[in-house]
Amino acid sequence: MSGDGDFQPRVLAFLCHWCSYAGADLAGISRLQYPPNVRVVRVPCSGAVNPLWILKALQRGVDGVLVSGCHPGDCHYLAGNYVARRRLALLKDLLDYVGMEPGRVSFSWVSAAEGQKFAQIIREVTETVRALGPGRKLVKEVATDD
Amino acid sequence: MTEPASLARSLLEEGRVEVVVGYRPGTLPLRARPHFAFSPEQAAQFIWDRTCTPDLTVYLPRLKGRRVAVFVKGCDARSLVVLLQERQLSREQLVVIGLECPGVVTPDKLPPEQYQALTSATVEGEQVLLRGGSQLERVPVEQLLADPCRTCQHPDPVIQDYLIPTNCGRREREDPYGVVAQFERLEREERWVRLEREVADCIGCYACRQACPLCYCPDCFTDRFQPRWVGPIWSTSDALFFHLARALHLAGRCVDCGACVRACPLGIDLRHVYKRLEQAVKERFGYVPGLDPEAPPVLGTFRPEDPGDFIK
Ligand code: SF4
Ligand code: SF4
Ligand code: FES
Repeated sequence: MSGDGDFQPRVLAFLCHWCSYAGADLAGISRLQYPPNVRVVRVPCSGAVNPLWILKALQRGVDGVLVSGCHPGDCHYLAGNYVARRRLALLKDLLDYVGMEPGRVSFSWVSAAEGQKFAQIIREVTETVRALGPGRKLVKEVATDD
Repeated sequence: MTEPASLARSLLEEGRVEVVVGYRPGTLPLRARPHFAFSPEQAAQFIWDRTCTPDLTVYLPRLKGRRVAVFVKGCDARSLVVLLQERQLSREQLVVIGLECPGVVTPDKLPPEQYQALTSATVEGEQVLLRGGSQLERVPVEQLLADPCRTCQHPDPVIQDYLIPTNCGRREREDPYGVVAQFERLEREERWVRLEREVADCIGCYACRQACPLCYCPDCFTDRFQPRWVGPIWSTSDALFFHLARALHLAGRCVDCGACVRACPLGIDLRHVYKRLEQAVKERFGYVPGLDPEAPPVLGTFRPEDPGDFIK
């Protein structure tokens, strides 16, 4: 983690295989520019994202997390994103309530056709997290065990 | 014989159940303890009064498939309903003895020195009589009332086969989310600092988890090694992770029975966090846990029109 001016946030993005990951792919093959701060984890469906992964990422020193899936009605598994929406809403409410910065964790719907939107969201998320500065809350300082 | 005792006795005599789970006087003042009666003789010890604070439904998942009668207050009936909703029990195996609840006391409200000096205590009407040697002190029940009872919206059991009425008066129901509003008034940074401070003493003993009627998973995330979610080197960060993860796992399920707070040897009290999630579930999804045994768990279902305002 570096000083003020040149802080490069690390953003972890959980992207569903069928929509958002394909949207990221489209952004790539369309040669759209977006910040290189994002690390992608491809998941089968947004409904497969365990909220504990998000907490774990923050604990391990990631500066921001994005979860992105198919638009409502478009989930490859029909309802995975609807179930995810309930679960993630509560994660968001919980983090807000206990004092985590808003913007550390973001959510989006990005379809396979929305390369533009994907690039735009990565820009937004990166800038928000950059403005927040390095993630500190929840970070475990002692040497990790594995 | 007390009413709970005679009812339990007849259930066992008639062979309707194998075991009755209820309360008997404890060895410490103001703390009734769980009692399991397998024979009509053992039923004689059952009591029901305002020291019957524990939620006994915590013992039920391990009695799955057996014929059990259980005493439940308002909050306990709701944790029982959640267990039924989640198919941890079947209604057919149960005889539910509802207790109309006027609110229960907890000696945790007394200064520890005062509690340790007590030789006995009894509740008479709206007064608690505290005896320490030759001393006798009367304090109002109000002073020792458990926090959840102050705001309880469902003091009458939502399911029961028998009902034991109360002869005590009913309380005014205080705003259940007063504790939430109070915390929300603090600045964001201060809120995080308070949370950290609250959990900093946590030693990861998981007594809160063990006491919770709804933490029944035989394979809790805290006990897993692949991946390892918490520890083995315990830090405040692990305590935060544990408590945030536990709160999420109880979201839309916690019935505010208060067992976790009472169980903690360090006095860690995160009730307001659980109340916040309860409130969020109510506002977002119009759902209150533990009212309808047939309703699907709130996070196992959805409505297409659920709010999605937080998603870009
Ligand atoms: S989290 Fe605490 S208050 Fe809620 S059901 Fe479990 S033990 Fe009861
Ligand atoms: S009972 Fe208290 S000390 Fe033990 S794990 Fe729970 S909060 Fe931590
Ligand atoms: S497959 Fe994309 S959200 Fe379910």
